[in-house]
Parts: sequence; structure tokens; C-alpha cells
Amino acid sequence: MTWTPITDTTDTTGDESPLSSGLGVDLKSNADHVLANRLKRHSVTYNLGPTSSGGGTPPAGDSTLVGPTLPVAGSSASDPEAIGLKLSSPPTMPLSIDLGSWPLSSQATSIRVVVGCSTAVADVDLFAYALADGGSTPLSPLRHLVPDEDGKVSFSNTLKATDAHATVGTSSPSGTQDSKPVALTIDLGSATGTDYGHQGDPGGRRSFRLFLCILSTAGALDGSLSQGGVSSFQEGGRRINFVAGFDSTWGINPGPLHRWIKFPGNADDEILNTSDAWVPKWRGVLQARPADLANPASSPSTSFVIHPSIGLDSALRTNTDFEIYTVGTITIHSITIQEFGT
Amino acid sequence: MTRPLNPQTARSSVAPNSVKAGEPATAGSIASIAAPLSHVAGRIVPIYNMRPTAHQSNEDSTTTVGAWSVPYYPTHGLWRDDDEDALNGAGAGSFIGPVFPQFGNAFALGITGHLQHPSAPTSRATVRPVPLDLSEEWDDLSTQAANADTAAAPMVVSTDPRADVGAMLDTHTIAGIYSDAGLYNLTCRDIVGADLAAAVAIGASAIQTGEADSEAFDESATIETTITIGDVGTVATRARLYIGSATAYGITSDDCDTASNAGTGYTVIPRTNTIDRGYGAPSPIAGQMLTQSIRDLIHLDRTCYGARGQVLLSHARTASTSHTEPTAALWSDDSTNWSTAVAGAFFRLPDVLPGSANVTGTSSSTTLALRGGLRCRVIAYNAEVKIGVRKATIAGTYGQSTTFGAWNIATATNATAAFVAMDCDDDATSVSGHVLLPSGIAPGDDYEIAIWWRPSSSDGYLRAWCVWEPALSTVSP
Repeated sequence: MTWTPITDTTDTTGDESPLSSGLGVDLKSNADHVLANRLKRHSVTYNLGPTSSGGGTPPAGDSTLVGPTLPVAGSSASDPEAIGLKLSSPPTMPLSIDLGSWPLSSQATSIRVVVGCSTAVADVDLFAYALADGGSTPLSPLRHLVPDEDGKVSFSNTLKATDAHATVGTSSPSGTQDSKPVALTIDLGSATGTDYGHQGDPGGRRSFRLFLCILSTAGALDGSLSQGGVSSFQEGGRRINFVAGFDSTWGINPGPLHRWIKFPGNADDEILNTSDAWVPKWRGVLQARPADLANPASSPSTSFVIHPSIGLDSALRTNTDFEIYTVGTITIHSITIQEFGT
Repeated sequence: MTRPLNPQTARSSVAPNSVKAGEPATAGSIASIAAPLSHVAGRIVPIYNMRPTAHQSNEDSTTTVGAWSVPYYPTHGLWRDDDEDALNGAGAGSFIGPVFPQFGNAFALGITGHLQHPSAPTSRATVRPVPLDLSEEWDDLSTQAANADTAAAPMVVSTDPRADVGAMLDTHTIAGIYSDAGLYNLTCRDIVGADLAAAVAIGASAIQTGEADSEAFDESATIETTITIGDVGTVATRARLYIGSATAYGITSDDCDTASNAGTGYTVIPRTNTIDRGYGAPSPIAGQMLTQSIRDLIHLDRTCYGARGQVLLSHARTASTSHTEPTAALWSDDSTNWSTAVAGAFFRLPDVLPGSANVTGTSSSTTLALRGGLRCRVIAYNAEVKIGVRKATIAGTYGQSTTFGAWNIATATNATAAFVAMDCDDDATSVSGHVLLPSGIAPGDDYEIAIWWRPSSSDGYLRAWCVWEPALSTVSP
């Protein structure tokens, strides 16, 4: 379908004169064309910070991103943790970024979400979905989480079969390019013709919100410290203490440490095999901290803030040895959103 | 003036039998096309922003953990940890967008967030309007117009921190509990679990600024709006503000010029929907129509096709050089190495190259009219800014086999110690105000946009950028 220019000087010759043959057809065809093509696009971007690249032109790829100069473990260093938005999810629940809401075009039949990102350590699942008038499109991520026998979740095969999902590996394009465009498509079905916008009070509009789900997967046992044992539970089980020099083991700031932990429950075969109270055995580390916060460099023990927390009645408290795993991380550079029509 | 007829709020067919050749024209047949076209006109809405103005991690903004200074790591949203009485006038972010005649001085602003402060009405979470002060400026690079407005954002408000809900991933509650190691210094930063994703209500405000200066409707201008928190209380005790989503987009201005112009020929794109009421009684004589009505319809058809106004990238920060103010301009003191403000922003070209003279195929010309390009506006302080576009051929199951073309770059430089708005000019061709699309690119191709910058010397700042699709220069046959 192409758009046809219409000449207003020749097609409308004077008041009450006959309309030219086909004028209405052309206008109708043009209306269809613009409805299907004048669709919105926008983006969410994260500051990527300094590179190690000088000269007259910027670097061609992103491999020279070094991260801003920050205090790291008591001294100044380039910190890649602060490039873009670096995330990892807990093993039991995907993260969900609220990308914003806007007046969806009436003839939009799909939403293309391209996530410019680099990933490391292990696969990361991405799933884009929208809330339109209260319903999830194409699927509700919560209804498509499948836990394994240890309580670690993955997306269902039904969800994975949609174009809105991608399992992102750690490979990257050739050359100096670390990040890659992960293209996700939310199929809206046929165009509803419904106007999600409103020229007056936007509070009265019908809602359309877009989200991006992120679900990490487990890597290998941590190379610095692969095992620990809880010495005390704090804040009702939200934080665990264990013996490991905070700075000497990890050498990071108190804050993000992209790890998962697993309570294998090896000591009690009956509990291991029969008790539902062991599930989930997996926890995500939301924050690593020195147990002695006043002395991070010399603190002989470490705290992990974990999710989900370990309830007071959890059987996990009867066998407190755990394993520490690395986890798939994603560094998001940009997320672009584009409506498409058919 | 009267608002143009858009957007409609009900489905409308664009295929009535009455528009077929040989069928008598009626008011209904014209209105049946005017309605959906008006809808399109109203929906060429420029999106000014879709993310809050969040912190830039730097070595001067830290929290003390024992003997260490710990930085605040990047977040998606904006958070503030100030005394309640200091929130009055504190920055809540900014946005920037291109001005179009129809959306010049009006916009919608939707902010979600929560506020814990001592003057909240209750310890329980309630949704209350949080006052906002808006400072708008329209700038066409030679003249500025300014205006101030107030608005209110519905936020979840309480005096006390929320309780940890245990099994649900309430990042904000957890961040508060463990903020002694830096607020939101978490592996998930400020992103909540999918179990709480839609737990925050959105309520947008429509702002009709009423600004009548010509800059507010001048297509060479941009609108930049700075948002500050209003008076939420006067207690000198810690308050905690979080803004997790901030969307701003243009809405039809009450003041746009909808007067039809019988003199505009087909090479002109009017840029505004001139139709402000449906065609009705008395019906025209069968097979006939009034010339001006038809011309208005043809002009609207041309507007919808040619005047694009799709914003691709936009981000704005406040005009502050403070290194501890969360919403301050991006800062760098490295005048040698490039910093990257944006990379990995991928879009697909529409059916015709933006900014061109209706080019629908591949072009390797060096002119905007034949190759197309994107409009680029930045606000910088003692800095050089470059905006690049390159073709991307996305391949692989997750993009890992993607190949890239060469960058085509535009530059703007302001070596003075003041925030100055500038257009970026194409490096290779010197086309002003645009970055040309890469040679050889065609409609339907994917491309990537990136923005790099560095100080001209010592400290430099980048306050805002905006990249958008300009209107076609002509749609003549």
C-alpha cells in the first residue's frame, strides 16, 4: 500500500463542482497508509560513562567502556558495576522494569522492544509484556513461572515460544562490540482501533504500560568462596551472617554482589527428600555487606541480604550449610520501543 | 481557538462505501475519512521522556561505611534522601522534546513514585497528591520563552517505612532497610519483582501552559521542562522520595492555530490538524463538496503523512553542576577520552526516510533531501558532543551475530562555562542541525544511535539531548 499525493488545486476546482473520480478512494487509501505507518517510537537509556578511547572520533564499538572512577573497596578505581544498569534477578522471581505508559496508536498491531545489552557469566531470559486495560499481553509472566524441584523458577515453554521472549547467551557480535540488540516483539493481535490516548485529562485515559522482565540463570560455584554456613539469621531471615572476610574474599564495596546461594540440605535425608519446607532451596543475594559495618576492610564475617527471606518456621534453619553460585548478569545500555502496524 | 478534531475515542472505519469513485459524496463520506485522519494527527504524539532523571554515579556522591566511601550505583528511577523541609524546591527531574505546532505548549506528565515523610497524614500507605512545580522553557536557539505551572502527582505516601513483605520482592522496602550501605546498592537496584510490577498507580496530569510566544509553536524550538517538588511539609526530619516512572508527551494544544489556509499548495505540510468539527448538516449536494472542506482534508492527509515528529531519544537534567545533586547534568573532567551517554539504541526506519523529500528507497546522496536524517539538539556546558547513526543488521537468536555499518556523525561544541542549547551539524556534509542517515540505508533497515561527549577542558557537563525524526521537506509527486 503506497501513499498517493493528491493535488488540491486540480482535484478541487471550485465550490460545488464535481469531485474528481477516485478522490475518496485515494484519501481512504492514504488514511489506511498513515494509520499503519505513523506509529510511535521512544526509548529508555542508561548513562554508560567513560571510555578509555580518545582521539578525534569516538570509539566504534563499546568494548572500551571502563565505568566511572569511583571509590571501590577503599581506593579509587574504574568500576564496571556502574556502567549502564547492571542487574541480576533472584532465582525465584524475575525483575520487571516499568518502561512507562503512553497513548498507544490505534493501528499498532505489535510492539517491538529492542534491548541493547551485554550479558555475562550465564544466560539471562528477557520477556517484554504490556498491561492493556488490566490484562497482560501476550502473557502474564507470573502465571508462566515454572519452579523446579529445588524451587528455582524458569519461564514456561508457552511463554518461551512467544516472540516477546529471548534467552540471551553471553556471546557478542564480532569486533569491538560487547553489547548486542535483543529484539522482542509483543504481538497485539489485530488492531483494536481503540484509542488509548485522550486529548483532555490523561487521568481519564485507558492504560497501556510496558514492562521488561529479567530472569537470571545460575552459573558455576563461586571461585572465591563456594560454600558457607549460616552463623546467624537476622531481620527475620532477610539477612544471613557467615564466616568469611568481606574484603579479603570479594574485594568489593558493600552493595551488589551478583550471586545466588543454595541450601542443599545434605545432612538430613528425610528432610531433603520429603519436606516441602525445603522449597525453595535457592536464594538470591541482593546485597553483600561486612557483618562489622564499621570495619569493612577487616570484618571477619559477611552478611548476605537475600531474597526470598528465610521464615522463622523454615526447615532451612535446621541445616544451614549453603553453596554460592555465580549468576547471569545483564548490563542494559538502552531499551527502545517501536510500534508497528501490519 | 478551537481544538482540532482529535483524537477520537471510538473505533472508526476508514472504508465506507461512500468514498468509492462514482459514489455521491456526502458529509458522512468526508467525515468518515476526516475522523480517522484526525485520529492519526492526534496520535503523532511526541514522547518527550520515558524515564526519570536518575543519579549519575560519581566519586563525590557517596555514603560512609566505616572507613570507606561507597558510591551510589545507577538506578532506573530517581531517589532522594533529604530532610522533608529541604524537599521544597528539590529537583524531581526534567524532560526535553521538540516543538510542533499542534503540541507546542501542552503536554501530559505521568509520574509514579512514593514518599515517606514525617508530615504524611498516616503511617499507613495512602495515595495522595504530591505537589510539583514546573518550569518550562522554549528555546529556538536565538530566543527563549518561559512559563511556570503547577501539577500534582499521585504517590504512595506514609510516615513510616513499609514493612518487609518477605516472599514478595519489594525492592524499595529492602533498599530502605539496608540503606546504611547505600540506598539501592542492590543487585536488582530499584527494580521490583514481577510480583509487584503493576502495584504502583499511574495518574497523569494534562498541562496546558497557555504560553503564546512564537517559540512555543516554532519547529526550530524545543521545550525543556524542569520539575521540582512542592511544599510537602516543613519538618527538618529525613524524608525519602522515589520516582520510578516518568512519562511526558505532547497533547493537542488549546492554542494551536487551526485556521485553514486556502492558499497552501500541495508542496506544503501544514503540520496541524485544521479540522475542528465533523462535517454535518446541511449535507452537500450529492456528488459535490465545498472546495475549502476538501482542501482541509487533503492538507490533513498530507500532514499525517509528512509531519512525523517521532522522538527517538530524549533525556534532560537540571541546569546544575553540583556533583551531589541527583538530577544534575552529567559530569566529566576527562577532556581526552570520550564518555558515552547513549549507545545500543536501535530503531527501524519507517517507509520513507525522515527529513527527506519523500525518499522511499536507498540513497547515497550527501543532501538531507535525498538521504534523510535525524534532528539533533543538545544542551552542554564546556563540552563537545557527537551523535552517531549506523546501520545495524540484527542477526542471531539474541542479536549476537549482528553486524554494523560505519558511523555517520554530527557534532556540536560549546566551549563556554554555561549551559547552551545547540544543534548538531553533520560532520561529513556540514548539513546543519541534523545527522544524515548512513549512506546506503533504506526504509525498513535497522539502525543504532549513540551519543558521546567530552569536556572541552577541565570540567564539562551534558545536560540534555533530543533526537527526533523531522518532517519530510516535501511530499510533492
